[in-house]
Amino acid sequence: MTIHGMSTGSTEENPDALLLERIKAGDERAFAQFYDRLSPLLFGLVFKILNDAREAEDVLQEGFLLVWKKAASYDSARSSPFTWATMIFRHKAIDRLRARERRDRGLEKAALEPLPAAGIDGRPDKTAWQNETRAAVHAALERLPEEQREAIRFAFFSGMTQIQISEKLGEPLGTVKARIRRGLLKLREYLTAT
Amino acid sequence: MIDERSEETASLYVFGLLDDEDARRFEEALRSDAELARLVSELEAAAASLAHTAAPKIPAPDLKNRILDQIRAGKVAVMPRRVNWLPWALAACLAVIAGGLAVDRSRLQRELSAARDQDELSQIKIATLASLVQDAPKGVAVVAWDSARQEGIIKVQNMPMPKADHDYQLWVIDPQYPLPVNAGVFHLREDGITKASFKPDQPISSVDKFAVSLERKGGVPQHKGPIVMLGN
Repeated sequence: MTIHGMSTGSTEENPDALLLERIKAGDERAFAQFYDRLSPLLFGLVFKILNDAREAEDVLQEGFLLVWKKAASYDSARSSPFTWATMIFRHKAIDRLRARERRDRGLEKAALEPLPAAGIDGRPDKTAWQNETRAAVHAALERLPEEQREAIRFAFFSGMTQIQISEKLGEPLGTVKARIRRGLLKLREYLTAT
Repeated sequence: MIDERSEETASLYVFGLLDDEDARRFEEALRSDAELARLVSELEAAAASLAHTAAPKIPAPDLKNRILDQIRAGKVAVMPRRVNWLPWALAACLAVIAGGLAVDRSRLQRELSAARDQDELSQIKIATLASLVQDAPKGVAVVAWDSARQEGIIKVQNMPMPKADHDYQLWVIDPQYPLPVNAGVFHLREDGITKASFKPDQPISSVDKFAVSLERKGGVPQHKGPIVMLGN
């Protein structure tokens, strides 16, 4: 199986890449399909970062407008559409988070919550690849040592700086950096081998 | 072979955990190291997969149509791949150094970073050059360099006027060339603040440093005179 996001951006193996090619040409229908395919996942992501539905929806709107604007800059040789889009939305959400200094305890707690079960707020997923990929990512994360899993989840979702993560986890900065490195390298290895 | 230190820096870069200066240095290294660039792409994909651990949520039903309405209203045009970034970069440079000599590269990088979301600025490098002239310790320059367009702008402040038979000349130090690449001469204005655009003589793949030397009037094809400003 090829993990969505670990594959190339080739249009032959990735329908999102084909949609992005059409979006580059100004195709609104392709944009609507791209939105349908990715918005639940991306909305879930930005909501998890911001912990605020209204803000998350603002970021989702800004993010998709950015997708429309920046589709021409997408480089299929560098990343998959999923990775490209995810990093855009994560970046925007963390910018919002930092700007408003919303690092409250609830958010930090959310970053450490147990891995959620698959599903869209209790509804079934529309796309099989999301279920398959989610299961694979969960399985890969479960193989990581707890401290590495915790470190990369903090790094991805919390919007904290290195030092803040170190303080939050109560570990020396060097230890936290090493955990992030090892955890991310292993995650890559496990997902690639899936 | 990528060592552990580079792996660590790559991991922190992917998560956006490097400070502006370290991120800029790392991006420079990425441009000339295909193996490292490949590692970053793979780590970025692994990091992005973490999005799958967030519970998916269905956005408001009308959000898609609201976005499409904005697009149709022409408020958001599809951007061409290459846009003219100079006004953005210049505005950011001016905003930072307008108040005097306190050139704060971190702030400039942050402003450009913020602008990137609105424009195609990812190819821009900002460099600050310090004076090496003992009599002009406050001399400073800011360079905004667009690697895609292979052109840039330089703004210089508080450097002494050269003698009548000399000019300041800008050089780009690219590791692929044995000698600095000529980027042309610029002339100081009487009010002490000079702004000039430049385009190097040869294609630049990676900028290690920018340097300014004092050369004979009109400039020279290869650097000969003393280096008076240097930075990256």
